[in-house]
Amino acid sequence: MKTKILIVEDDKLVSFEIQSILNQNGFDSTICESYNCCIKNLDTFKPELILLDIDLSKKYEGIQIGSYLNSKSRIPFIYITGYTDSETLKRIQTTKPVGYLSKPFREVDIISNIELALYNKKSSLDNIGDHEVEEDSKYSKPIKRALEYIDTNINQEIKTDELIRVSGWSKFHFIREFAKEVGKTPYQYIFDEKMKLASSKLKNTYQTVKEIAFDLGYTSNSSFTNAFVKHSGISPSSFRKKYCR
Amino acid sequence: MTNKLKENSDGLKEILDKTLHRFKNNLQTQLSLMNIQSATNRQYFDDRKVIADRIFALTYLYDLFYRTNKEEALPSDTLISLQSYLLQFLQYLKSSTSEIDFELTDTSHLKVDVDDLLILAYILVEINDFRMSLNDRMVLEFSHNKKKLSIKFSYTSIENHEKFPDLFEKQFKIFDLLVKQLKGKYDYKKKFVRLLLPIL
Repeated sequence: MKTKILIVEDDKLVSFEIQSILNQNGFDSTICESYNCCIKNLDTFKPELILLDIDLSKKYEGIQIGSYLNSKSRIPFIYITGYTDSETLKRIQTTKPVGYLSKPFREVDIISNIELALYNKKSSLDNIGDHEVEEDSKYSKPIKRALEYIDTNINQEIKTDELIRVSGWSKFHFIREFAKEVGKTPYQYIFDEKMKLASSKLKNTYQTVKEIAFDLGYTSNSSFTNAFVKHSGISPSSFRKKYCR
Repeated sequence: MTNKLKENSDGLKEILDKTLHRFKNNLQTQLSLMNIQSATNRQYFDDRKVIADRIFALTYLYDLFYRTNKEEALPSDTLISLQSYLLQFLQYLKSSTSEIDFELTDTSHLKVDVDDLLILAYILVEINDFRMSLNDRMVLEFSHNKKKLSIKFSYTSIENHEKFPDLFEKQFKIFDLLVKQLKGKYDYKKKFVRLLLPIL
């Protein structure tokens, strides 16, 4: 079976070129142009590797996806970018990519980066010990399903009824077990995850506060600002000033 | 005073970083076009001319960008005059042939992002190569409406332009990718093809 690679790039010429190169070299690939499309394809396309443009939508959305992949998945990813300044390099290092392709690139650059990343992934999987197995079994299956549902739908309003439905448990049992296994209530967990994502977007993208509020499922700028102040102690714009370059 | 100098220096560094980034992206586009040409077996009427035209498109763009911002200490955007660029680039295309007629309505107040203008120039290079492969005369008309630039083009030897995509089926991919990159729409009429590009 061919190795599946997801290309996350909004420049149609570059993405088509990469896809042609991958096809010629025996890979199966698909193209995404946005954050949402990428997250959706993690489940539907199930890529083994991701090529990720840093400056997606001209808002550094690629770094945001990188942060998401680093914290939520084991899929290795390689950044593609024209940026080679030290500040950008420092920012992307925190998201732990397995490679970095600087534009303009050659076919051999893409293929060698991919081959190396896949080799390293295979080696690390071979070395997985009992510790990881234990890590996997940290949550019961119904709670895992609920957590996955939250991850996938973090950009929308998430209703507890939906979480109860995916868990397959009764309301009372679900809320009690969730708090026991995760250490906080579903509401608190969703709130913390949204605020984590908001912080990452404020730090790593040029999206306006209003856009971020909308992306996280908030219906107004003020309700998002209030929530953010409650969580971080400062307003979103002050947070951005403090942490952004 | 010291703070102001530091601010200027930081601003200048940011502009240099962004310019370098843009230039590398522009070079990547040039490379991508050549690689897609090989991958899709795109046969140009004159490969050498197409590559030269793309390089001139890039050169004119940076010339104009530099001249536009020469008076400003720290330029705040990457917009340049659509009319100035189109006039310069179309004159360049016309310098090697008398078979191009163009009409440009007054767009002197319109400015377009440099990256979009470059893709627009590459679209014109493709349209001109179609013309050369037909050994034909071509008419180009530029106009604008709200946020969209309209380009109407037609070839003397084509009786029905509704069949344009079929006629150039094997050469169409790069042209189509360029149009899609600008989120453009096609409108095929009997007498002409119109592209509507939301880049204004």
